[in-house]
Amino acid sequence: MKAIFFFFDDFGSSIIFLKDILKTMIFRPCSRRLVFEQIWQVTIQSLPTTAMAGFFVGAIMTVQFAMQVSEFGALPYLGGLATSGTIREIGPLLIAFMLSGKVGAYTSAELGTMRVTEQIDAIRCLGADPIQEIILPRFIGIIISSFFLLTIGLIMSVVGGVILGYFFSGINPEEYVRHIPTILAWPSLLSGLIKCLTFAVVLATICTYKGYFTTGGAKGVGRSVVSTAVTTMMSIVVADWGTSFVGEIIINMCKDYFL
Amino acid sequence: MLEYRNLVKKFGERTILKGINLKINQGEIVFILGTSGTGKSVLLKNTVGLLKPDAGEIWIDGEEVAGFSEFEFLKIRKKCGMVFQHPALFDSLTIYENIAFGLRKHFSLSESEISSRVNRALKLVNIHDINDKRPAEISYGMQKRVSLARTVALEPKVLLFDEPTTGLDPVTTNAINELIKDLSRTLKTTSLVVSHDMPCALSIADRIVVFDQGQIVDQGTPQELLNSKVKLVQEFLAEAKEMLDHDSNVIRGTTS
Amino acid sequence: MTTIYRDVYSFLELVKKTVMSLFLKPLRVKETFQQLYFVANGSLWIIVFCVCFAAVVTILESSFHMKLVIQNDSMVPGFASLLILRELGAVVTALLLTSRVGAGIAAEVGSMKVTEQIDALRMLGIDPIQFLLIPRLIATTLGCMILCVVANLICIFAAMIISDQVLGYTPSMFLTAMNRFVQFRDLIFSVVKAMFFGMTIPMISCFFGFRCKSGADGVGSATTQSVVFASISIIFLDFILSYTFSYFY
Repeated sequence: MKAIFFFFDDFGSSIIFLKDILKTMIFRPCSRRLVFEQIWQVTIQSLPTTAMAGFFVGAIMTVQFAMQVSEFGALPYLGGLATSGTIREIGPLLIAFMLSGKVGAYTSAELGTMRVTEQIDAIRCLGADPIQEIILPRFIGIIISSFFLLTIGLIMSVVGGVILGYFFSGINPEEYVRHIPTILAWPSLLSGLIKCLTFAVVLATICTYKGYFTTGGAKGVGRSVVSTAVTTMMSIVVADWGTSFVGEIIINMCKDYFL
Repeated sequence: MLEYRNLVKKFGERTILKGINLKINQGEIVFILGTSGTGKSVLLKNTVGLLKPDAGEIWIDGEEVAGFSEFEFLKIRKKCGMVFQHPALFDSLTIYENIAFGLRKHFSLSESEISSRVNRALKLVNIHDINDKRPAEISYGMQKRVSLARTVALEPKVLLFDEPTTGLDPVTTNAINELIKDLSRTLKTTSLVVSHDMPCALSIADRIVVFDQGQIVDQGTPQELLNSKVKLVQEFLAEAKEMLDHDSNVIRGTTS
Repeated sequence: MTTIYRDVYSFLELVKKTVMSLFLKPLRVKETFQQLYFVANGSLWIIVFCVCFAAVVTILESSFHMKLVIQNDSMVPGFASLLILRELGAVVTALLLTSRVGAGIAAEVGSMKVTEQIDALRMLGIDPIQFLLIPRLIATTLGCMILCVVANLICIFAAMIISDQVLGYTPSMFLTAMNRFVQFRDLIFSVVKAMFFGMTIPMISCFFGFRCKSGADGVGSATTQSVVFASISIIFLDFILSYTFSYFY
């Protein structure tokens, strides 16, 4: 019972926090330089990890799909199927899991450290708004660069797929790539990108919220990093379901409208 | 200058401050002593609006501030500088930028004015030639002094110190205490110092307030406190006397 | 380059010491069971929750692709349950355990290191590897294997419900289709994967916990690094294992 109360309490205050951030973004925007600094930092830190994760996710999916698709005798379609499956679903999910560790945990550790060493109080005392000065650049920076990173990850997953397609089931790269457009239509691509964007917003909100409200010294920082990682992953799974579901409805509506 | 009337602060079920009444006059150095976790830091954080009291009034310079919004507190924070327990310097900025940060936010000054005020503040705390270093590159004692300079650069009327000497070696401790004294005398600021350090309280305070369990149990000038009947004060004094026996310089400081 | 070499070397050193004390020194049975309770029971609901959502998405997506390629989605149950058993169940379980258990271990060991508790253990003649790492290693390995089985079952169960509700395949049709594709060894391979993941998580977490630097940012970065490296290693290991197992089907 207590856990349920705790959940709603947490959920509610993170929404209020998000409201504060958005209000600050509209009425008192932070300097653009800070945002670009954040984007650069986050991207440069996480690019190799994300690219690697994307590559292996694509590779795994190709191996799995190859085994099953060959049972149906549809091996030529492997390129399209594996790419589409990765981009629509597994790719964004696993890469976002990866980022929740890399970007989310890192940011909440950084903000938590600032909180427990009283840097955030010091900012308030020196007449600046910590949300405007610290949280907002990170929030915007994380959204933009995670979206970018997730996209890079997805592109790398195609590369991984091509390479494994060649080595594992002997499909030459040209044929693999040629079959991608036959299955991967623009709604799928759009759905993948919308997923990436949703995950980026979820990630940015949770890690700034958890980091900003850290209490209790070095142990507290550890605790908030753990809870950031767990909460982000769970929220990403839920958001994944949400976007698939909503995406389905929208696509159906579009079909009715256009056809 | 600074007055608390019946201030109450609760964290959940626990009441940290149980009705504090305290008045501090202009130019005074007041030490707040007490064991850990009795709400001394909480009192300071309430003063500058980092925490909001549950009941009671805080008067600063003739204004009741307890009900102020975050925006209204900005002008209070210009008047009341706070030095934190941790140095709380911003890791990503250089020492110069750390000190200039508050000046840029609170005042609209030209770059040359900022530079002269930063250098003046650094001179006050006896630090030279580290303008371009980062906080991680200087020692902990230096960081504490820079943190002090950052607050002093704003030229506040009231200075709040949260355990300025905790975790420092005796030499730096003495230096910082001397600094607090000098600053108060030269800049005519009112100082409120939270500390565990009885000997230095005896040496530089105009008045000492003793906290226990979120209440004021005793207060008075150092001379008055020496004859206190309160048990906690006596324990603090006993420890202080032990140290005083070893260090006659500090005794000379108390009597002068 | 030399730092990477040195890091890898000290990690292998830790692995060597762990293996040695695993076989040479007595096991702290009670602590191990407490850890097992924390790992398995504590993470059960989170994993069940996430896996259910993952199952829904898998079914919907598989159906989408099947309709594209072979115009009907009668193969979906078999296809989806294969995907769940071979890939999703083990990987999602392991990644969730990384964030909950792995980060937890790194934070715990890291703050013990920062507060000098680990040095205190050494002073008392207790080997921190035997005292801290071994119980967590055994507990996480066992816990991950158990949770993997549970996650697979729940995931397939959720997939069954969804295909009944959304695609209109009754459970009996689902099971028949599943029976055509899935073999018992798929579950065994999944558990083997989970075993490897379960060993990786505490090793990496303790490695970063033991070399945590002092201060609040030390614990934070140790925790972050352990999550990142553990997730990367899991995805990498998964690739190798999937590739290896593909020769046994």
